[in-house]
Amino acid sequence: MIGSMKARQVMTFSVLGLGIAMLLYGLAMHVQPVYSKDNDKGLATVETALIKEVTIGGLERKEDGTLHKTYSGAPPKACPT
Amino acid sequence: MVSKSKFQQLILKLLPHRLWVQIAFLLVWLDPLAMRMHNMCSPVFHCYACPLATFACPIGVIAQFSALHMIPFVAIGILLVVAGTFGTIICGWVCPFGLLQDLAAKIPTPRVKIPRAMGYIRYIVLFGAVLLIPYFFGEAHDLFICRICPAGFLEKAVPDMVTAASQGNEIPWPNAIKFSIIGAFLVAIFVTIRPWCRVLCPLGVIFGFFNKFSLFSMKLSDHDCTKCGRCRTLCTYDVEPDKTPNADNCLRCLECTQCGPGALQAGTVFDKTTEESN
Repeated sequence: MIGSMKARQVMTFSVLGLGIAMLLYGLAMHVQPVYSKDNDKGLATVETALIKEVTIGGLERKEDGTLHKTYSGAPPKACPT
Repeated sequence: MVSKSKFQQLILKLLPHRLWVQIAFLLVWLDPLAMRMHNMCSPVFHCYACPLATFACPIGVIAQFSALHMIPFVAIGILLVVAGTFGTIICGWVCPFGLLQDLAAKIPTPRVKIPRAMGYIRYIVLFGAVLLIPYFFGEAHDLFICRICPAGFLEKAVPDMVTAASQGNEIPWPNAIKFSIIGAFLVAIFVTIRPWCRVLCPLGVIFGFFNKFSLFSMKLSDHDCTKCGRCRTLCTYDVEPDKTPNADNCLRCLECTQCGPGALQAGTVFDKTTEESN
């Protein structure tokens, strides 16, 4: 019984630890280069900005694997889906 | 009768007001301050295309990232932290889409029972419409989650259709698949309780998966349970709380903790439960 309880507690803290680690990495370190008509060199974009872009359908991946903005100028108001 | 912990006593005080707790959380999700924080995910099912959405929908973000072949560290991180802390208590007490279904269930109609096995369809939705279809076919596919999601339909498509109609413009009708799903959903919420949550919700299945080892946990005192079956009567989601108090299909409304002997209580993962003693 104690072993099973311990296993649950280990799982709980593993899940929480993994979640916090992923969250911190996503917030602080994860960046992706995003290309646009205005910027063909690729602008390093943090994940929170990427999240905002996908909520308006503002990103697409080209066949060469690069991320591109789907618009130039003012962003769309809402997601096209 | 078992002595109740202070935490359980608080739960019992809150239980009659669960609907009001859900309504109070709308102040967080419906963006009353017009903050539009769509660079961060919420832990609930609420479409970011909705004009009244404070945060981004985590399922929509995961699906869109999958379509772009990226790992959504923030969305997954938030879900793991919330699921690891609360499990499906988010579904039972916090989610606005759950509230909508709970309000519809207040209308007295004949009820249809959902077979428990249908809960596994949620895994198909999660792996199919949220992860694999977006990854292999992109966001343009008809079965991409956002294209079939009833939350998106009700919160964005309906207002758009009404606006277009009122302005005399062409109405943007949804495709046949979306129309069928939303039709079935609108019928189902009046004839059964929480159909979306129990059969299709990809977010609920993530939280449910972590019910067994979330910090917040249900505990069952095997010695005090009289097998009276009262907990099963109290449960409106056809869970068997006396057998599996932390089942993945439990939405943690916590109604079962009102059982007479008090054998079922809300607690933490540090408390002993029947599952350990078996």
